[in-house]
Amino acid sequence: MSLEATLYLRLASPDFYRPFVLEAQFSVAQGEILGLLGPSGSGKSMTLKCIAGIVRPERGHVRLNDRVLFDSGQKIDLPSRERRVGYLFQSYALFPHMSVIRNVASGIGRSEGESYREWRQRADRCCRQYMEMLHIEQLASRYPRQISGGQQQRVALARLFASQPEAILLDEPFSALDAELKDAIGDELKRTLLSYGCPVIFVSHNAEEVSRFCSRTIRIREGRLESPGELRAPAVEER
Amino acid sequence: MFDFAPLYISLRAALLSSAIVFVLGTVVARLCYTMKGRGATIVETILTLPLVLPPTVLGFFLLVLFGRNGPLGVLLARMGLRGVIFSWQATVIAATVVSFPLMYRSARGAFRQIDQELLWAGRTLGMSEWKIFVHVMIPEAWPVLMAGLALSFSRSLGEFGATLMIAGNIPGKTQTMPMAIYFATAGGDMQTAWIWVGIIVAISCVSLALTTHFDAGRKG
Repeated sequence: MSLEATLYLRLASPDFYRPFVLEAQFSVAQGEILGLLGPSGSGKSMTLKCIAGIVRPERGHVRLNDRVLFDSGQKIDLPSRERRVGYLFQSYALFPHMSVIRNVASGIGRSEGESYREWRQRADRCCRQYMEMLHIEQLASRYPRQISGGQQQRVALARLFASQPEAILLDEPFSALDAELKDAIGDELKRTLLSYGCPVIFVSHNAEEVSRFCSRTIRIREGRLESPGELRAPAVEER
Repeated sequence: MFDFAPLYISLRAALLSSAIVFVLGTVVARLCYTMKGRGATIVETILTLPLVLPPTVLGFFLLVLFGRNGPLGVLLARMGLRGVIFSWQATVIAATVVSFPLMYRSARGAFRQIDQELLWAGRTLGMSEWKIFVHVMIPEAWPVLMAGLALSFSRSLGEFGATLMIAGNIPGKTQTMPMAIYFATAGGDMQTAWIWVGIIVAISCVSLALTTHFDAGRKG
């Protein structure tokens, strides 16, 4: 049970003096929190977006457990919807027109052969479970704009867990929180993630945050991974 | 006794065409908003053309399309709807075509303003594109869609040129309010013209006020 990614991506962006090249190869084991540490523009978020299917790498291979999510050689490119990769956006991206509980329920799809009522009941049970776990059950009927940043983060996490992802990607999850709240939430979030037990990638530009939160850290700089032992020959280029 | 048939005919055409255009404009805007490149420009031009073409030109095209030997006329005849031209349905068709670009452009603008992260959040959560459209995009765009609807309704209500071309001016059947004004004035019946002018100004004011109201709701 793990997430493996080999990515090669070149972006000819007018924002960059030369084309931005992302070249990364790493794997994350089940129950492991991998930290991707690097300054802004280093390709951290781009790495996550490639794994989630938001950005398509030119070449590479992404495998989650026994499913191939992306393979340029075999022309496999699963849409985001089918990847079962949970993505926590920096801004949390809560649906503003849905109450907290509807937000949490939004990722619970109806399975085959399930009646509408069975589905609603299952969704409701599932929502309650994760909302209790994250202590937001009292916010069920509120709307995202009516709750604080810390609460919004919990709602986004509950929504993420309720969609039953097989891997979780956290994009600067603490950047929208003040320092005090960050400390309070950090340890708890780590416990919750470890108890959920799937590969987790945590992206941040803050070294202290990463060292406290993650089981292992890789540095990323200008699109390349820098940590010794993780830096391998870019096998993708021969493809 | 004053004949209120034009009010009824106009309202029927405007309400029906607004309903059609609301659904059609919103769905087409959704289908087109991801398009890029030359294809997008071509589609964009075709869809917006009715906004800039003279209504008589539109009416001419509609006559060709819906006429007895026109492709759509033949198709409708096969479906059991004979002789659309100069029937009340023609008033709806004309109103739909002229007001479509207004709704389409409103919806497209609204969809383009939606935060892409919301859509990607939906996709990574496993929501289908249809579910995202219904539960995320439409609620987000709702105030602008309503404003577009009000705009389309006003445009349909004032439709004259294309309607005259394909529906004619048959009192009690296809004579809409703008038509009644034109022919009353032409015939020197200023009193009747004044009444219709008053009614149209009143309805347009209400419609515009609603637009402004929804616009304010969007910003506030």
